[in-house]
Amino acid sequence: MSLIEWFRTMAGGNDALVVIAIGVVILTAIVLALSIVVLAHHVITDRQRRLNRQRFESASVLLAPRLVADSPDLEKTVEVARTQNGDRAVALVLRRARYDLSGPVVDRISATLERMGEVEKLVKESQSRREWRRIAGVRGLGECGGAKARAALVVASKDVSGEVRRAAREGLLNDRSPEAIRVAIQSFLIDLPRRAGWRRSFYARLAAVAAEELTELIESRQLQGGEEKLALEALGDAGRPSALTLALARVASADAESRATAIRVLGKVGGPRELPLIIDALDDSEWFVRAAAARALEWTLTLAENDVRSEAQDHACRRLERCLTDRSWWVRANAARALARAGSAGVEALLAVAESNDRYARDAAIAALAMAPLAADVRQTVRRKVESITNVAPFVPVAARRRGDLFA
Amino acid sequence: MGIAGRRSKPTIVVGESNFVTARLLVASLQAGGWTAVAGTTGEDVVALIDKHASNVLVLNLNLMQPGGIALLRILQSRRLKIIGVTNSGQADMRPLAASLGVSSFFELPFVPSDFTTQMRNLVEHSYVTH
Repeated sequence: MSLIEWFRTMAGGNDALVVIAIGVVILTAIVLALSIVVLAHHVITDRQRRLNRQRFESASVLLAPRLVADSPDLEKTVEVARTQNGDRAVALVLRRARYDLSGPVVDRISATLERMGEVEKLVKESQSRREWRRIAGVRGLGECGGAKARAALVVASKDVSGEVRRAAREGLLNDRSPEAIRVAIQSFLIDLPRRAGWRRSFYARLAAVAAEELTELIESRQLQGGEEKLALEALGDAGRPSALTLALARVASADAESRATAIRVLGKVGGPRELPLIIDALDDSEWFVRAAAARALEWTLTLAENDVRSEAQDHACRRLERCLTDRSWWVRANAARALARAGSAGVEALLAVAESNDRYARDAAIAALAMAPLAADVRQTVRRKVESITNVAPFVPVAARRRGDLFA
Repeated sequence: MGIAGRRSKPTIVVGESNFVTARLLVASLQAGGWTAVAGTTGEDVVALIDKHASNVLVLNLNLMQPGGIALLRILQSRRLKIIGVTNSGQADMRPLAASLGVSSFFELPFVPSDFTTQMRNLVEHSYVTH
Protein backbone atom coordinates (compact mmCIF):
# COMPACT_ATOMS: atom_id res chain seq x y z
CA MET A 1 0.00 0.00 0.00
CA SER A 2 1.44 3.39 -1.00
CA LEU A 3 1.69 6.31 1.42
CA ILE A 4 -1.10 8.21 -0.37
CA GLU A 5 -3.45 5.21 -0.19
CA TRP A 6 -2.65 4.87 3.51
CA PHE A 7 -3.54 8.54 4.05
CA ARG A 8 -6.74 8.09 2.08
CA THR A 9 -7.71 5.10 4.24
CA MET A 10 -6.94 7.05 7.42
CA ALA A 11 -8.92 10.06 6.14
CA GLY A 12 -11.94 7.89 5.29
CA GLY A 13 -11.64 8.72 1.57
CA ASN A 14 -11.73 12.50 2.08
CA ASP A 15 -9.29 13.93 -0.58
CA ALA A 16 -9.03 17.40 1.04
CA LEU A 17 -7.81 15.88 4.32
CA VAL A 18 -5.27 13.80 2.40
CA VAL A 19 -3.83 16.92 0.71
CA ILE A 20 -3.57 18.71 4.07
CA ALA A 21 -1.91 15.69 5.73
CA ILE A 22 0.65 15.36 2.92
CA GLY A 23 1.39 19.10 3.13
CA VAL A 24 1.97 18.87 6.87
CA VAL A 25 4.34 15.94 6.42
CA ILE A 26 6.33 17.74 3.71
CA LEU A 27 6.59 20.97 5.75
CA THR A 28 7.66 19.05 8.85
CA ALA A 29 10.37 17.32 6.83
CA ILE A 30 11.61 20.68 5.46
CA VAL A 31 11.66 22.24 8.95
CA LEU A 32 13.55 19.25 10.33
CA ALA A 33 16.08 19.36 7.51
CA LEU A 34 16.62 23.11 7.95
CA SER A 35 17.02 22.69 11.72
CA ILE A 36 19.69 20.08 11.16
CA VAL A 37 21.48 22.34 8.67
CA VAL A 38 21.36 25.34 11.06
CA LEU A 39 22.54 23.22 13.99
CA ALA A 40 25.38 21.75 11.96
CA HIS A 41 26.36 25.23 10.73
CA HIS A 42 26.34 26.55 14.28
CA VAL A 43 28.47 23.68 15.57
CA ILE A 44 30.97 24.00 12.72
CA THR A 45 31.31 27.82 12.87
CA ASP A 46 31.51 27.78 16.66
CA ARG A 47 34.28 25.21 16.48
CA GLN A 48 36.01 27.22 13.77
CA ARG A 49 35.72 30.41 15.84
CA ARG A 50 37.19 28.72 18.90
CA LEU A 51 39.98 27.26 16.79
CA ASN A 52 40.73 30.68 15.28
CA ARG A 53 40.74 32.22 18.75
CA GLN A 54 43.13 29.52 20.02
CA ARG A 55 45.47 30.07 17.06
CA PHE A 56 45.36 33.83 17.54
CA GLU A 57 46.13 33.56 21.26
CA SER A 58 48.85 31.01 20.70
CA ALA A 59 50.48 33.23 18.06
CA SER A 60 50.26 36.24 20.43
CA VAL A 61 51.93 34.36 23.27
CA LEU A 62 54.69 33.13 20.97
CA LEU A 63 55.40 36.44 19.24
CA ALA A 64 54.89 39.07 21.97
CA PRO A 65 58.25 38.54 23.80
CA ARG A 66 60.17 38.73 20.49
CA LEU A 67 58.28 41.81 19.40
CA VAL A 68 58.89 43.83 22.57
CA ALA A 69 62.56 42.80 22.62
CA ASP A 70 62.95 43.55 18.88
CA SER A 71 64.61 40.14 18.92
CA PRO A 72 67.02 39.09 16.12
CA ASP A 73 65.12 35.80 15.76
CA LEU A 74 61.76 37.53 15.23
CA GLU A 75 61.52 36.45 11.59
CA LYS A 76 62.35 32.84 12.49
CA THR A 77 59.69 32.86 15.24
CA VAL A 78 57.16 34.28 12.78
CA GLU A 79 57.80 31.29 10.50
CA VAL A 80 57.28 28.90 13.43
CA ALA A 81 54.06 30.71 14.36
CA ARG A 82 52.82 30.55 10.75
CA THR A 83 53.39 26.79 10.67
CA GLN A 84 51.67 26.27 14.02
CA ASN A 85 48.82 28.77 13.79
CA GLY A 86 48.37 29.74 10.15
CA ASP A 87 48.94 33.02 8.30
CA ARG A 88 45.65 34.62 9.32
CA ALA A 89 46.33 34.47 13.07
CA VAL A 90 49.94 35.59 12.69
CA ALA A 91 48.99 38.50 10.42
CA LEU A 92 46.34 39.71 12.89
CA VAL A 93 48.85 39.62 15.75
CA LEU A 94 51.53 41.44 13.75
CA ARG A 95 49.09 44.10 12.56
CA ARG A 96 47.91 44.84 16.07
CA ALA A 97 51.49 44.85 17.40
CA ARG A 98 52.49 47.36 14.75
CA TYR A 99 49.63 49.59 15.89
CA ASP A 100 50.56 49.32 19.60
CA LEU A 101 54.34 49.47 19.44
CA SER A 102 56.72 52.27 18.62
CA GLY A 103 60.41 52.16 17.70
CA PRO A 104 62.52 50.28 15.15
CA VAL A 105 60.55 47.04 15.47
CA VAL A 106 57.60 48.52 13.52
CA ASP A 107 59.61 48.56 10.27
CA ARG A 108 60.49 44.90 10.74
CA ILE A 109 56.83 44.08 11.33
CA SER A 110 55.87 45.90 8.11
CA ALA A 111 58.54 44.04 6.15
CA THR A 112 57.37 40.71 7.59
CA LEU A 113 53.74 41.42 6.67
CA GLU A 114 54.81 42.22 3.10
CA ARG A 115 56.84 39.02 2.87
CA MET A 116 53.89 36.98 4.13
CA GLY A 117 51.67 38.30 1.34
CA GLU A 118 49.30 39.98 3.80
CA VAL A 119 49.79 43.41 2.24
CA GLU A 120 49.14 42.05 -1.26
CA LYS A 121 45.91 40.43 -0.07
CA LEU A 122 44.72 43.65 1.58
CA VAL A 123 45.66 45.76 -1.46
CA LYS A 124 43.34 43.54 -3.54
CA GLU A 125 40.58 43.99 -0.97
CA SER A 126 41.09 47.75 -1.02
CA GLN A 127 40.39 47.70 -4.78
CA SER A 128 37.13 45.76 -4.46
CA ARG A 129 33.91 47.11 -6.00
CA ARG A 130 32.14 46.64 -2.67
CA GLU A 131 32.54 49.53 -0.28
CA TRP A 132 32.60 47.40 2.89
CA ARG A 133 35.42 45.28 1.48
CA ARG A 134 37.41 48.37 0.53
CA ILE A 135 36.96 49.77 4.05
CA ALA A 136 38.14 46.50 5.61
CA GLY A 137 41.11 46.31 3.22
CA VAL A 138 42.14 49.92 3.81
CA ARG A 139 41.84 49.56 7.59
CA GLY A 140 44.04 46.47 7.42
CA LEU A 141 46.60 48.27 5.25
CA GLY A 142 46.68 51.08 7.81
CA GLU A 143 47.87 48.57 10.38
CA CYS A 144 50.55 47.07 8.11
CA GLY A 145 52.73 50.07 7.23
CA GLY A 146 55.53 49.90 4.65
CA ALA A 147 55.93 51.32 1.13
CA LYS A 148 53.45 49.04 -0.62
CA ALA A 149 50.66 49.64 1.91
CA ARG A 150 51.41 53.37 1.90
CA ALA A 151 51.06 53.57 -1.91
CA ALA A 152 47.69 51.81 -1.71
CA LEU A 153 46.56 54.14 1.10
CA VAL A 154 47.50 57.21 -0.94
CA VAL A 155 45.24 55.92 -3.74
CA ALA A 156 42.48 55.11 -1.22
CA SER A 157 42.65 58.64 0.23
CA LYS A 158 40.98 59.76 -3.05
CA ASP A 159 38.29 57.04 -3.00
CA VAL A 160 34.68 57.98 -3.84
CA SER A 161 33.54 56.76 -0.42
CA GLY A 162 34.07 59.15 2.51
CA GLU A 163 34.41 56.21 4.90
CA VAL A 164 37.22 54.70 2.81
CA ARG A 165 38.99 58.07 2.61
CA ARG A 166 38.75 58.46 6.38
CA ALA A 167 40.15 54.94 6.96
CA ALA A 168 42.96 55.72 4.50
CA ARG A 169 43.89 58.92 6.36
CA GLU A 170 43.99 57.06 9.68
CA GLY A 171 46.16 54.41 8.06
CA LEU A 172 48.52 57.04 6.66
CA LEU A 173 48.90 58.55 10.14
CA ASN A 174 49.68 55.10 11.55
CA ASP A 175 52.36 54.73 8.87
CA ARG A 176 54.13 57.69 10.56
CA SER A 177 56.44 58.40 7.58
CA PRO A 178 56.74 62.10 6.56
CA GLU A 179 55.23 61.41 3.13
CA ALA A 180 52.24 59.56 4.59
CA ILE A 181 51.65 62.33 7.14
CA ARG A 182 51.78 64.99 4.40
CA VAL A 183 49.24 63.15 2.23
CA ALA A 184 46.96 62.53 5.23
CA ILE A 185 46.97 66.24 6.14
CA GLN A 186 46.32 67.32 2.53
CA SER A 187 43.46 64.87 2.18
CA PHE A 188 42.00 65.99 5.51
CA LEU A 189 42.13 69.69 4.60
CA ILE A 190 40.30 69.28 1.29
CA ASP A 191 37.79 66.86 2.74
CA LEU A 192 37.05 67.99 6.33
CA PRO A 193 34.87 65.31 7.98
CA ARG A 194 31.51 66.76 8.98
CA ARG A 195 31.52 65.23 12.49
CA ALA A 196 33.55 67.11 15.09
CA GLY A 197 34.38 63.77 16.78
CA TRP A 198 36.09 62.50 13.60
CA ARG A 199 38.04 65.73 13.23
CA ARG A 200 39.04 65.64 16.91
CA SER A 201 40.17 62.03 16.50
CA PHE A 202 42.31 62.98 13.47
CA TYR A 203 44.02 65.83 15.33
CA ALA A 204 44.58 63.61 18.39
CA ARG A 205 46.27 60.93 16.31
CA LEU A 206 48.27 63.54 14.39
CA ALA A 207 49.44 65.09 17.68
CA ALA A 208 50.49 61.65 18.93
CA VAL A 209 52.48 60.62 15.83
CA ALA A 210 53.52 63.90 14.17
CA ALA A 211 53.38 66.82 16.61
CA GLU A 212 55.79 68.91 14.52
CA GLU A 213 53.60 68.68 11.44
CA LEU A 214 50.51 69.60 13.46
CA THR A 215 52.35 72.57 14.97
CA GLU A 216 53.34 73.74 11.47
CA LEU A 217 49.75 73.32 10.34
CA ILE A 218 48.47 75.55 13.17
CA GLU A 219 51.21 78.13 12.58
CA SER A 220 50.43 78.23 8.85
CA ARG A 221 46.95 79.61 9.72
CA GLN A 222 45.32 77.16 7.29
CA LEU A 223 42.97 76.13 10.06
CA GLN A 224 40.17 78.52 10.87
CA GLY A 225 38.45 79.23 14.20
CA GLY A 226 37.02 75.99 15.56
CA GLU A 227 39.51 73.84 13.64
CA GLU A 228 42.49 75.66 15.12
CA LYS A 229 40.95 75.23 18.54
CA LEU A 230 40.56 71.44 18.10
CA ALA A 231 44.11 71.13 16.77
CA LEU A 232 45.64 73.13 19.62
CA GLU A 233 43.67 71.18 22.23
CA ALA A 234 44.96 67.93 20.69
CA LEU A 235 48.55 69.16 20.94
CA GLY A 236 47.95 70.10 24.58
CA ASP A 237 46.31 66.74 25.35
CA ALA A 238 49.35 65.00 23.91
CA GLY A 239 51.54 67.15 26.19
CA ARG A 240 53.64 68.52 23.32
CA PRO A 241 55.94 71.46 24.27
CA SER A 242 54.97 73.39 21.11
CA ALA A 243 51.43 73.61 22.52
CA LEU A 244 52.77 75.93 25.24
CA THR A 245 54.20 78.46 22.76
CA LEU A 246 51.02 78.42 20.67
CA ALA A 247 48.82 78.81 23.75
CA LEU A 248 50.88 81.71 25.13
CA ALA A 249 50.47 83.52 21.80
CA ARG A 250 46.68 83.24 22.11
CA VAL A 251 46.11 83.78 25.82
CA ALA A 252 45.43 87.50 25.40
CA SER A 253 43.55 87.13 22.10
CA ALA A 254 40.57 89.37 21.40
CA ASP A 255 38.64 86.23 20.49
CA ALA A 256 37.24 84.72 23.70
CA GLU A 257 37.11 81.19 22.23
CA SER A 258 40.85 81.39 21.52
CA ARG A 259 41.51 82.62 25.05
CA ALA A 260 39.52 79.73 26.55
CA THR A 261 41.40 77.17 24.43
CA ALA A 262 44.75 78.72 25.31
CA ILE A 263 43.95 78.64 29.04
CA ARG A 264 42.84 75.00 28.87
CA VAL A 265 46.07 74.10 27.09
CA LEU A 266 48.14 76.00 29.67
CA GLY A 267 46.49 73.88 32.34
CA LYS A 268 47.81 70.78 30.60
CA VAL A 269 51.32 71.83 29.57
CA GLY A 270 52.04 74.97 31.60
CA GLY A 271 54.52 75.34 34.46
CA PRO A 272 54.83 77.71 37.43
CA ARG A 273 55.36 80.71 35.10
CA GLU A 274 52.00 80.16 33.42
CA LEU A 275 50.09 79.76 36.67
CA PRO A 276 49.39 83.51 37.17
CA LEU A 277 47.93 83.66 33.62
CA ILE A 278 45.48 80.89 34.46
CA ILE A 279 44.54 82.43 37.80
CA ASP A 280 43.99 85.84 36.16
CA ALA A 281 41.67 84.22 33.62
CA LEU A 282 39.30 83.41 36.51
CA ASP A 283 38.28 87.09 36.24
CA ASP A 284 37.72 87.09 32.45
CA SER A 285 34.59 88.84 31.19
CA GLU A 286 33.37 85.68 29.39
CA TRP A 287 31.95 82.88 31.53
CA PHE A 288 33.43 80.10 29.37
CA VAL A 289 36.94 81.54 29.77
CA ARG A 290 36.45 81.63 33.55
CA ALA A 291 35.13 78.05 33.43
CA ALA A 292 38.14 77.01 31.31
CA ALA A 293 40.50 78.63 33.84
CA ALA A 294 38.88 76.75 36.74
CA ARG A 295 39.15 73.51 34.74
CA ALA A 296 42.78 74.27 33.91
CA LEU A 297 43.48 74.73 37.61
CA GLU A 298 41.83 71.38 38.30
CA TRP A 299 44.28 69.83 35.80
CA THR A 300 47.24 71.61 37.37
CA LEU A 301 46.20 70.66 40.89
CA THR A 302 45.76 67.03 39.86
CA LEU A 303 48.52 66.29 37.38
CA ALA A 304 51.30 68.87 37.66
CA GLU A 305 54.65 68.29 39.32
CA ASN A 306 54.67 68.75 43.10
CA ASP A 307 56.24 72.26 43.12
CA VAL A 308 53.74 73.62 40.58
CA ARG A 309 50.89 71.95 42.44
CA SER A 310 51.80 73.44 45.80
CA GLU A 311 52.22 76.87 44.21
CA ALA A 312 48.80 76.52 42.62
CA GLN A 313 47.37 75.51 46.00
CA ASP A 314 48.90 78.57 47.65
CA HIS A 315 47.70 81.07 45.07
CA ALA A 316 44.50 79.72 43.60
CA CYS A 317 42.33 78.75 46.58
CA ARG A 318 41.00 82.21 47.45
CA ARG A 319 40.29 83.09 43.81
CA LEU A 320 38.56 79.77 43.20
CA GLU A 321 36.49 80.26 46.34
CA ARG A 322 35.23 83.52 44.85
CA CYS A 323 34.23 81.67 41.66
CA LEU A 324 31.86 79.49 43.71
CA THR A 325 29.41 82.40 43.64
CA ASP A 326 29.85 83.07 39.92
CA ARG A 327 26.61 83.56 38.00
CA SER A 328 27.52 80.71 35.62
CA TRP A 329 26.84 77.16 36.80
CA TRP A 330 29.84 75.84 34.82
CA VAL A 331 32.23 78.23 36.56
CA ARG A 332 30.86 77.29 40.00
CA ALA A 333 31.03 73.55 39.26
CA ASN A 334 34.56 73.69 37.78
CA ALA A 335 35.82 75.89 40.61
CA ALA A 336 34.43 73.49 43.19
CA ARG A 337 36.08 70.53 41.42
CA ALA A 338 39.39 72.39 41.34
CA LEU A 339 39.12 73.21 45.05
CA ALA A 340 38.48 69.52 45.76
CA ARG A 341 41.99 68.87 44.35
CA ALA A 342 43.60 71.67 46.36
CA GLY A 343 44.43 69.70 49.49
CA SER A 344 43.19 70.60 52.96
CA ALA A 345 42.93 74.33 52.12
CA GLY A 346 40.56 73.51 49.26
CA VAL A 347 38.49 71.07 51.32
CA GLU A 348 38.17 73.62 54.11
CA ALA A 349 37.06 76.26 51.60
CA LEU A 350 34.45 73.88 50.21
CA LEU A 351 33.18 73.01 53.69
CA ALA A 352 32.88 76.71 54.52
CA VAL A 353 30.89 77.32 51.34
CA ALA A 354 28.75 74.25 52.04
CA GLU A 355 27.57 76.03 55.20
CA SER A 356 26.73 79.26 53.39
CA ASN A 357 23.27 80.47 52.41
CA ASP A 358 24.06 80.49 48.70
CA ARG A 359 22.36 77.26 47.62
CA TYR A 360 24.05 77.21 44.16
CA ALA A 361 27.50 77.44 45.69
CA ARG A 362 26.49 74.97 48.40
CA ASP A 363 25.37 72.34 45.84
CA ALA A 364 28.57 72.73 43.80
CA ALA A 365 30.69 72.42 46.95
CA ILE A 366 28.90 69.32 48.25
CA ALA A 367 29.06 67.57 44.85
CA ALA A 368 32.79 68.32 44.60
CA LEU A 369 33.46 67.12 48.16
CA ALA A 370 31.74 63.84 47.33
CA MET A 371 34.20 63.27 44.47
CA ALA A 372 37.28 64.59 46.27
CA PRO A 373 40.21 62.20 46.74
CA LEU A 374 40.28 62.15 50.55
CA ALA A 375 41.96 59.89 53.07
CA ALA A 376 39.50 57.56 54.84
CA ASP A 377 39.55 59.43 58.18
CA VAL A 378 39.22 62.86 56.50
CA ARG A 379 36.38 61.46 54.40
CA GLN A 380 34.53 60.39 57.54
CA THR A 381 34.98 63.83 59.10
CA VAL A 382 33.81 65.54 55.91
CA ARG A 383 30.85 63.20 55.68
CA ARG A 384 29.76 63.94 59.23
CA LYS A 385 30.14 67.64 58.64
CA VAL A 386 28.16 67.59 55.38
CA GLU A 387 25.45 65.50 57.03
CA SER A 388 25.17 68.01 59.85
CA ILE A 389 25.02 70.86 57.31
CA THR A 390 22.36 69.19 55.19
CA ASN A 391 20.64 67.96 58.35
CA VAL A 392 20.41 64.40 57.09
CA ALA A 393 18.56 62.04 59.36
CA PRO A 394 17.24 58.54 58.61
CA PHE A 395 13.87 58.46 56.83
CA VAL A 396 13.74 62.20 56.09
CA PRO A 397 13.95 64.24 52.90
CA VAL A 398 14.87 62.01 50.00
CA ALA A 399 16.87 64.70 48.20
CA ALA A 400 18.91 65.45 51.30
CA ARG A 401 19.40 61.73 51.95
CA ARG A 402 20.80 61.34 48.44
CA ARG A 403 23.38 63.97 49.24
CA GLY A 404 24.46 61.97 52.27
CA ASP A 405 24.60 58.77 50.21
CA LEU A 406 27.33 60.29 48.10
CA PHE A 407 29.69 59.61 50.96
CA ALA A 408 28.55 56.06 51.64
CA MET B 1 57.12 33.78 50.29
CA GLY B 2 60.51 35.48 50.29
CA ILE B 3 63.23 35.23 52.87
CA ALA B 4 62.62 37.55 55.84
CA GLY B 5 63.81 41.05 55.12
CA ARG B 6 64.42 40.36 51.44
CA ARG B 7 62.64 42.61 49.01
CA SER B 8 60.71 40.72 46.35
CA LYS B 9 59.18 42.21 43.21
CA PRO B 10 55.39 42.28 43.24
CA THR B 11 53.28 40.53 40.64
CA ILE B 12 51.95 43.18 38.30
CA VAL B 13 48.40 42.86 37.04
CA VAL B 14 47.62 44.21 33.57
CA GLY B 15 44.03 45.17 32.73
CA GLU B 16 43.70 45.43 28.94
CA SER B 17 40.80 44.20 26.82
CA ASN B 18 42.79 43.62 23.63
CA PHE B 19 44.55 40.28 23.88
CA VAL B 20 47.60 41.23 21.78
CA THR B 21 48.12 44.54 23.59
CA ALA B 22 47.83 42.73 26.92
CA ARG B 23 50.45 40.18 25.83
CA LEU B 24 52.78 42.97 24.67
CA LEU B 25 52.47 44.74 28.03
CA VAL B 26 53.02 41.50 29.94
CA ALA B 27 56.02 40.60 27.78
CA SER B 28 57.52 44.09 28.33
CA LEU B 29 57.14 43.70 32.10
CA GLN B 30 58.61 40.20 32.02
CA ALA B 31 61.56 41.51 30.02
CA GLY B 32 62.03 44.07 32.81
CA GLY B 33 62.26 41.27 35.37
CA TRP B 34 58.74 41.35 36.82
CA THR B 35 56.11 38.68 37.07
CA ALA B 36 53.03 39.88 35.23
CA VAL B 37 49.55 38.53 34.55
CA ALA B 38 46.80 40.00 32.39
CA GLY B 39 43.02 40.18 32.62
CA THR B 40 40.82 41.24 29.72
CA THR B 41 37.83 42.41 31.81
CA GLY B 42 37.47 44.39 35.02
CA GLU B 43 36.16 41.29 36.79
CA ASP B 44 39.27 39.32 35.74
CA VAL B 45 41.47 42.13 37.01
CA VAL B 46 39.88 42.17 40.48
CA ALA B 47 40.19 38.37 40.68
CA LEU B 48 43.86 38.50 39.65
CA ILE B 49 44.68 41.23 42.18
CA ASP B 50 43.11 39.11 44.92
CA LYS B 51 44.77 35.91 43.75
CA HIS B 52 48.28 37.36 43.51
CA ALA B 53 47.90 39.86 46.39
CA SER B 54 49.23 42.40 43.91
CA ASN B 55 49.65 46.07 44.67
CA VAL B 56 50.65 47.24 41.19
CA LEU B 57 48.23 47.59 38.30
CA VAL B 58 48.61 48.65 34.67
CA LEU B 59 45.11 49.60 33.56
CA ASN B 60 43.74 50.62 30.19
CA LEU B 61 41.07 53.19 31.02
CA ASN B 62 38.95 51.73 28.19
CA LEU B 63 38.63 48.37 29.92
CA MET B 64 35.13 46.85 29.99
CA GLN B 65 32.98 44.98 32.55
CA PRO B 66 33.25 47.14 34.61
CA GLY B 67 34.78 50.10 32.77
CA GLY B 68 38.23 51.47 33.65
CA ILE B 69 36.95 54.41 35.70
CA ALA B 70 34.35 52.26 37.49
CA LEU B 71 37.09 49.75 38.29
CA LEU B 72 39.26 52.52 39.74
CA ARG B 73 36.41 53.48 42.05
CA ILE B 74 36.08 49.84 43.18
CA LEU B 75 39.82 49.57 43.81
CA GLN B 76 40.20 53.02 45.39
CA SER B 77 40.34 51.72 48.96
CA ARG B 78 43.11 49.21 48.18
CA ARG B 79 45.85 51.81 47.72
CA LEU B 80 47.34 50.21 44.62
CA LYS B 81 50.10 51.74 42.52
CA ILE B 82 48.44 52.25 39.15
CA ILE B 83 49.71 53.21 35.70
CA GLY B 84 46.93 54.29 33.34
CA VAL B 85 47.04 53.40 29.65
CA THR B 86 45.23 55.73 27.26
CA ASN B 87 44.80 55.97 23.52
CA SER B 88 45.49 59.25 21.74
CA GLY B 89 42.71 61.77 22.35
CA GLN B 90 41.75 60.48 25.77
CA ALA B 91 43.77 62.91 27.87
CA ASP B 92 40.55 64.34 29.30
CA MET B 93 40.11 61.17 31.33
CA ARG B 94 43.37 61.77 33.16
CA PRO B 95 42.34 64.18 35.94
CA LEU B 96 39.48 61.95 37.02
CA ALA B 97 41.65 58.84 36.80
CA ALA B 98 44.43 60.60 38.73
CA SER B 99 42.00 61.59 41.46
CA LEU B 100 41.00 57.91 41.69
CA GLY B 101 44.55 56.77 42.33
CA VAL B 102 46.34 56.56 38.97
CA SER B 103 49.93 57.69 39.59
CA SER B 104 51.14 58.05 36.01
CA PHE B 105 49.99 57.55 32.44
CA PHE B 106 51.34 56.40 29.14
CA GLU B 107 49.87 56.47 25.69
CA LEU B 108 49.66 53.85 22.97
CA PRO B 109 51.67 53.27 20.77
CA PHE B 110 54.46 52.63 23.29
CA VAL B 111 58.18 51.93 23.36
CA PRO B 112 58.64 48.86 25.60
CA SER B 113 61.87 50.15 27.22
CA ASP B 114 60.21 53.50 28.09
CA PHE B 115 57.30 51.64 29.62
CA THR B 116 59.52 49.49 31.82
CA THR B 117 61.47 52.59 32.95
CA GLN B 118 58.19 54.23 33.94
CA MET B 119 57.16 51.08 35.76
CA ARG B 120 60.48 50.92 37.56
CA ASN B 121 60.04 54.50 38.78
CA LEU B 122 56.58 53.67 40.04
CA VAL B 123 57.25 50.41 41.87
CA GLU B 124 60.80 50.97 43.06
CA HIS B 125 59.58 52.05 46.47
CA SER B 126 56.64 49.69 46.67
CA TYR B 127 58.30 46.26 46.77
CA VAL B 128 56.67 44.07 49.33
CA THR B 129 58.94 43.10 52.18
CA HIS B 130 58.10 39.64 53.45
